[in-house]
Amino acid sequence: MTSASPNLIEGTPPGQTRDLRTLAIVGHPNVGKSVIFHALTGKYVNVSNFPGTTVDLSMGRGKFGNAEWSVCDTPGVISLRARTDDERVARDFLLETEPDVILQVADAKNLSKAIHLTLELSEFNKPMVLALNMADEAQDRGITIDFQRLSALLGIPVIETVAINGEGIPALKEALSAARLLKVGPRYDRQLVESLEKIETSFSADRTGHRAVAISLFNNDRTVWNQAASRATAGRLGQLEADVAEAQKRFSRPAELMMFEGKQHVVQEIVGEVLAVKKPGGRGWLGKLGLWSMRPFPGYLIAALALYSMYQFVGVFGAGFLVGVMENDVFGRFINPAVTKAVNFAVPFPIVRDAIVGEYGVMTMALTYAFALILPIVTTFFLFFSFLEDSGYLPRLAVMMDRFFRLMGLNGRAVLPMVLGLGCDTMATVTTRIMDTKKEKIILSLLLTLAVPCSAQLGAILGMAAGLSWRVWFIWIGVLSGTMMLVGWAAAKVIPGSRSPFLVELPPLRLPKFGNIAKKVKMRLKWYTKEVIPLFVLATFVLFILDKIHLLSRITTLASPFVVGFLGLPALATESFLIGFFRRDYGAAGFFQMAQAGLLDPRQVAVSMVVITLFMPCVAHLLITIKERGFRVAMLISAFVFGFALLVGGSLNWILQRTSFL
Amino acid sequence: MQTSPMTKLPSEHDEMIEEALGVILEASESGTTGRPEIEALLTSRLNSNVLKELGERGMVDLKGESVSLTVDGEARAKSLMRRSRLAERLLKDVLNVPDEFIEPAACQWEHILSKEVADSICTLLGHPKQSPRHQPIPPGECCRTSLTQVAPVVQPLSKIAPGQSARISYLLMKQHPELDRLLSMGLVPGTTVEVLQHYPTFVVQVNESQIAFDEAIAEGVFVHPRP
Repeated sequence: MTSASPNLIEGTPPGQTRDLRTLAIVGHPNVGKSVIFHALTGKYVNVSNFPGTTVDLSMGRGKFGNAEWSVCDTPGVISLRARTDDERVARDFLLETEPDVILQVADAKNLSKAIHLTLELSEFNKPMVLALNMADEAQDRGITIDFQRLSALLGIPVIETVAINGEGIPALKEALSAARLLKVGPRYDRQLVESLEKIETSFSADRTGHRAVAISLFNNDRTVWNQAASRATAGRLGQLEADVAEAQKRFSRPAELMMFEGKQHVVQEIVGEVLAVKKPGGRGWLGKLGLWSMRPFPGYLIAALALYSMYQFVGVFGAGFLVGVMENDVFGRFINPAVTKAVNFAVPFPIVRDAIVGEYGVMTMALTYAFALILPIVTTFFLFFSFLEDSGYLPRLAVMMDRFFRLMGLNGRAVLPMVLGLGCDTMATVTTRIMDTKKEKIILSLLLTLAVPCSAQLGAILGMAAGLSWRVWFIWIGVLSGTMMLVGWAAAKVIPGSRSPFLVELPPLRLPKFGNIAKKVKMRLKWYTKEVIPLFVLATFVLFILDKIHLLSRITTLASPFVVGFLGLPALATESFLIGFFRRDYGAAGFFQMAQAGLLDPRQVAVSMVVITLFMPCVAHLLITIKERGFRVAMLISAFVFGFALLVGGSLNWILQRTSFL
Repeated sequence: MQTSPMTKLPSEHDEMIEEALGVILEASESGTTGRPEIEALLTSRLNSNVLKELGERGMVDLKGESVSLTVDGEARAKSLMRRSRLAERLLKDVLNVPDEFIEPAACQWEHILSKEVADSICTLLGHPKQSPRHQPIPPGECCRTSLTQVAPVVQPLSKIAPGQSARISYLLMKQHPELDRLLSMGLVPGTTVEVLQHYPTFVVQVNESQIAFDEAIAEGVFVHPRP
């Protein structure tokens, strides 16, 4: 678990050691944990209105209440009976590092759910503070909470916040120094408590949170055994296993239900005492829009409208207008001529000059691509995506797309990675964790690698097909969606495992705040440029070297039977494929230039569009896929995608040559 | 139940025999079949060890180390279990009897419900598969023929029309993890849900949350429709 508390404390200068306290922020998805993390540490993490977007731990430092704090933001959890990867990340963090204080952030609109989680957290046995966030939305809905009474019942500070506006943050900072142990906990069946206590006797006394481990063990959660083993006193592991098995055999009712009931009574008592709800007078217009957007009519119309707006904003405005300005005017007229002049003047060695401003120059090729072609497109995409994300529309789109994704062995939740993949497949691969089963994660990774074009590449593709017949578009969209469905369907049949049912909580539709969108776009762009530019420069430099040692022309000749014969493309296309190995958008940009120079006929445009779209996304994507899916699966996916892309391209070429469609 | 004037009602001893069969069946469901364990269970639950008598009456097989029910014994035990668990469902879902009174009442009812009455209750409740405490209810004749003449009182959520509200009476999930999810999301027995739509997926409103799910889940949430 990265640089969490123990190591961190050792790493600080001696004088401060005692003052550095650790704080874990825990809560349901989508309740504002990340916003509060930002308010406490000044560090920004990605915030979104889609459950499950903080997929890792974020660490930061903050100073408040006379102490220095190490703060950790954990992924949203529905329950700490961890079932998904992110829930496990959160639970394991609490168990491993045993933070000094747990801050639970909860939605003030859903007090019962909040208290359920509070009771689960009581089993980690740490001082707590409860922040009831989005208090403004609760008020709008006629919900009143007696905060003082709630605080007295729970025995911990309870703070009302509207984190997004900074309301309640000073009070929260103060309260963190006054964190207390909870006064209440679940009231389980007496026999269950006996069994749990028996399990806990095997744990060493110098750790806390045994109850949470015991419950997960009882719940037959295999993933907690590591934790359990690390807590078991020497030689007790066998006894522990026997106790767990005995406890599980003792009850014929589902474990989840017994635990739920143990909490439910307590929750009802507490909520009954502190909560008053005035019946609201119907839904506001956003509420109505939220409902409409999920009905077949006008839901699919709204989805189509969203897609069309995206095309207008990213495709026409970003890839058309902005790229034009950047490429022709900014770089074509000013920057590149100026840099060329300067380099020619200042650098005496022709080979170095070539490396910077030559045909395969870092400046003229790599940086021009990165800044003139890719940056405007990626920026407009992220603006649009962040807007969609913050508005709360994406989970509703998941509802609309559920049946479609079911054909491919997935469910509607896959919509987030898929749409994000239109921006950057690498980022999207990280979010495949929101799927429940391993099978779904593999299918999703495969489809992202194969059939979801990223925005940088889309820009180049839009450019290539500009001015050509609609038929080129028709072929591209047809082949791509056909491939996706066919491969998804086949993968669902072939890959062992199960599909999980679709279940998602829908956050309310909100009008996004520009400030938040801007922050998000800035962060994503930073990530993107950090990842992209070194790769562009590297790829260009490799090309430059290959060219200088005349290997490039040899590879081109070698590959030409294949590229020219099978795919029916000009020999020069080999270069684009070569750089496509580094980043396929870069490859697409190569094809774009060939098309601009009039080197491709419509058939060749269609074939190259299809092949480069199906190609593997980029080196970074490969690395992330290895990290998320493991080396073996990543290699299998890559081998399949590489072969399949060329096969589809070859077949398309064969068909187009024999028909007069283009 | 102490002194019954009606001849048809079972004697106290017969009740105990039935109880004992039930205890053995439940024990075997959770994997306990050893003779000493069963004897201990019977003694603690019924204050009497009737195992030998059960063997003499041909309801259990006492040969060997373990205890197993004979075909006859199992049929009687299952029938008892079915009556008892159906009674629990009826008390809980229709009569809204508080939890602590359900089990004692069901324990008495189970002996006096006839097979026909049990089948009627079963049909009324929509042929439930689990007791309120999530123990399986053995199917009866009526479940196999799926009688529906008596309109079911408790239905799966998938049968509730959009715009209608219903009170959740229990959740039946093939995989328990989803059950846990639903509970944490606020789909809790006793709460009222409003069904907003069926297609493309189900969407329901529970308090301040909207939750979307597919049919697989909608068919596992059993509700009490409200006019």
